[in-house]
Amino acid sequence: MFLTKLPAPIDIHVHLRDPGDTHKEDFYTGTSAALNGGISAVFDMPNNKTPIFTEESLREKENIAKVKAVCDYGFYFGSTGKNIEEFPKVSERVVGLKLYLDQTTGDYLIRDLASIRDVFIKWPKEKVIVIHAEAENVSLVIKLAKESGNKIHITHVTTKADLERIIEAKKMSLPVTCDVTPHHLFLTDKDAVELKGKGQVKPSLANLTDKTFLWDSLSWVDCFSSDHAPHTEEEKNSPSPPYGIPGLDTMIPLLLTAVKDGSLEMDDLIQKISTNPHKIFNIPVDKDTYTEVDLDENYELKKENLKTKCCWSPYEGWQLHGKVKSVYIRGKKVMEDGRILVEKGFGRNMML
Amino acid sequence: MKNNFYNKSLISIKSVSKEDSLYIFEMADKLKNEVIKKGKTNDLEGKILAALCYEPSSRTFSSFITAIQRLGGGFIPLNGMEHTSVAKGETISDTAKVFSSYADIIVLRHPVVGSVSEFAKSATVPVINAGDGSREHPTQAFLDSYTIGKHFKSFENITVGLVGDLLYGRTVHSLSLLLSKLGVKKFIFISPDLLKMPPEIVSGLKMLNCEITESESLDSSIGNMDIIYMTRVQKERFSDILVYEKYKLAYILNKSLMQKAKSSSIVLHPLPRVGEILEEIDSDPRALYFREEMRNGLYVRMAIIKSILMQ
Repeated sequence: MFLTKLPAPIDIHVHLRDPGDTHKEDFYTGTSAALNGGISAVFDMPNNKTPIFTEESLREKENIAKVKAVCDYGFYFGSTGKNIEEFPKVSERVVGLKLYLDQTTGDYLIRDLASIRDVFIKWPKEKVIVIHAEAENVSLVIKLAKESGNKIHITHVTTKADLERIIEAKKMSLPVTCDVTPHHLFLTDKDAVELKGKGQVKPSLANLTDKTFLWDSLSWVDCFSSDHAPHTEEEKNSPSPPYGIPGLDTMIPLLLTAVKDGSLEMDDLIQKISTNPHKIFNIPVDKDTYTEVDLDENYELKKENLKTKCCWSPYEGWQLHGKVKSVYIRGKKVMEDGRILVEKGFGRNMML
Repeated sequence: MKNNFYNKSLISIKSVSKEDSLYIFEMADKLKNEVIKKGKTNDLEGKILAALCYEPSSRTFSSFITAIQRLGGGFIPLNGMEHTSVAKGETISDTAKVFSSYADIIVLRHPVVGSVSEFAKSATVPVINAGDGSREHPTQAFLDSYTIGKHFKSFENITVGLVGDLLYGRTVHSLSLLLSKLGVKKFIFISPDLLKMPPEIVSGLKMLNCEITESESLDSSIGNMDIIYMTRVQKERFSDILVYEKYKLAYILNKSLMQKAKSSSIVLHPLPRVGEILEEIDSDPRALYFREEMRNGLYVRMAIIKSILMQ
């Protein structure tokens, strides 16, 4: 058996729900799911139950992660435009800022132009602003970034129209980067009907034309991110299911399957899960951090092999090709064949 | 699929069929997987490749050397053949006989048109043409077609733009021929009038029902191209330096031209470039010359060597 090395894969978009919703996920189960899926570092979003809008809430989250995480991690700061005075206190402690211009779980929207502009001006230019924006909002933030000179990253791009907007900006060499999620690459609105509550996610699963366009235009996409957003099965099966799909356990295996069937190049996969995220967030690649995968192993994805606390996946029963065998972080083997080999608290905050 | 390459020389793209090309592409895919997984295979253990270059070559030369090593074989590297026994007056047919007794396969680059096939007549082992004069460069045509095939679902609906020196640029001759065999129906040739594609190639392509557009202006045609294949316009081809300066500037690929190009297009260049693609283009996702083209050269040359040496 020959193992292939993936250098330091980062998932730049996860929701580990800790603190606030630890019945869905916590820092231990979430970072275990990351290792299980071959990810050595995760960047956690600020939309906790009590959002990370203050230095105090950020420090509280840092302290919780410090004793629970088994992989490395970084945090985003959040803003609705009313906490700009916090920026200088936190910007060095986080990987970036996250703005929500379109609907997601919870009430974190920033919509008015004056506030967004103000945030752009006050946030340090060298640090990236990750943005959930759809449709016209994509054009809006690109325009603002052009004016202000901020680095922006549009996360979970879903539709042909939105990716086209980003491609136009990239052709003009604007400082815009973007990512796509596995669920928008592997699922469509047809699957959403089948999956019922479990297929509810923001941005919604799109149609086949959009999905095909994402695949055909992957060369313009900078990163893959899971947008790991766990909710319990009970919540997802309820009459008003919350938005979100878990993806940490499954992102790399799905992408390896795409490498196997020829729809993705191995070099491209490494670019988008490691090289580019390190570049965008200005983090050096640690040569002793890597994931070993067996490209030839064929297996069925089963619930019992997941490590996320919510313990379900839209890909249950899928035949996958390419298995994560082990993960090394800073020279230490931290995961092998689904077993976590380090104690809680091994993971480090990459910004501290 | 049948291996029609076994124990035969590869001199010209003319003798290659569509099926033969697909055979090489499939083999290249397989070998690529092996290289990604293990770095090498041992398929050609004990086989020796002689790489003989009668004119300067660094990329093609080293890509063949890397290819045979990654297949587990050994090599005789002679870059600068003009300084060897050749300088003492050895004939090309004698050189062919000598190296046939050492090597299992010979890769040859020579500045004189037709010299590779002359060499192959005297050689008793298969010979690969790695560029002869300004006529053909079949392995480059394979690797470029392979790269194009990776990016488009079919060859039938793409428009291939070849830009620069189309008269002396040997890569574009082999490439246009191979692409037409693979199903390409539309070509746009952009060159100074002085360096137009040779008429026999144009008429050959038209016989295969290809639609050919010839123009001097890259700016007005780039938006129609799916493949933007750039080549070097060499100074020494011009007698009037002012004419050269004028053309040189017209065929420099820069950001403003790339803004007019399709989002789904790809940019290729056989390299080395000498200013005809600005470095500002290198990070454009459509620019594949460093990102894929060179690497594919390795897999495709491995596939060609292996197909010739193993049934």
